[in-house]
Amino acid sequence: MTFTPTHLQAAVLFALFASVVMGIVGRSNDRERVSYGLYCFAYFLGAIFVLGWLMRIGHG
Amino acid sequence: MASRREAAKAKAPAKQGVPLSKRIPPVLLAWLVPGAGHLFLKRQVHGTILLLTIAGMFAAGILMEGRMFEPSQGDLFTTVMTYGGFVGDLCNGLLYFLTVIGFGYEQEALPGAVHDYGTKFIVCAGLLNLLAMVDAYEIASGKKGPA
Repeated sequence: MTFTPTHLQAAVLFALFASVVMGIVGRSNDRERVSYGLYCFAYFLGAIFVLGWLMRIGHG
Repeated sequence: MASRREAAKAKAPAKQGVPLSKRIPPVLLAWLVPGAGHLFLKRQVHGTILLLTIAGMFAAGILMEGRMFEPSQGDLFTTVMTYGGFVGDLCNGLLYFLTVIGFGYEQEALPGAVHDYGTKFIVCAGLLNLLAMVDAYEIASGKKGPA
């Protein structure tokens, strides 16, 4: 059994896993954990989107 | 600023009060099994989420046929990459040992980007487990209050 995601799917999956862990370890109460996890996830997605377009534009 | 320093000073005696023998076991458990440090410290929900997340990321890396790093000497870049990657892989604890020694997982460098994503997923799962280990240490030493 293998898993062959596209680059976007892999990046979003990575963002999800990293945001969950960063949310748990990064704050000290549950409400802040959830908001920090969502904040990290949103920034990951934003970075994926912006860097993706920059690479596309830069590549021509 | 001054009030922060005063608050830190007020916390200091509590940190010193926790013996090393109570701070080390959660860290070792957290290294061996992701989330186990939190489970040991009676933070079941956080421990379970960490276990599912880190093990899930490691499993995704294996399913993408990612490669485990082996430390090797070469130019500076190669040395840093392979030793750093190896340390990241080792941070997965039993997941790493079971996969490599228990199941004899060995993956040669394959062409294609997906295998490379897998390699990075495995290393990053280890690095996220390192964050969980640090968190377990902070909880055990009283630096983080009750949830």
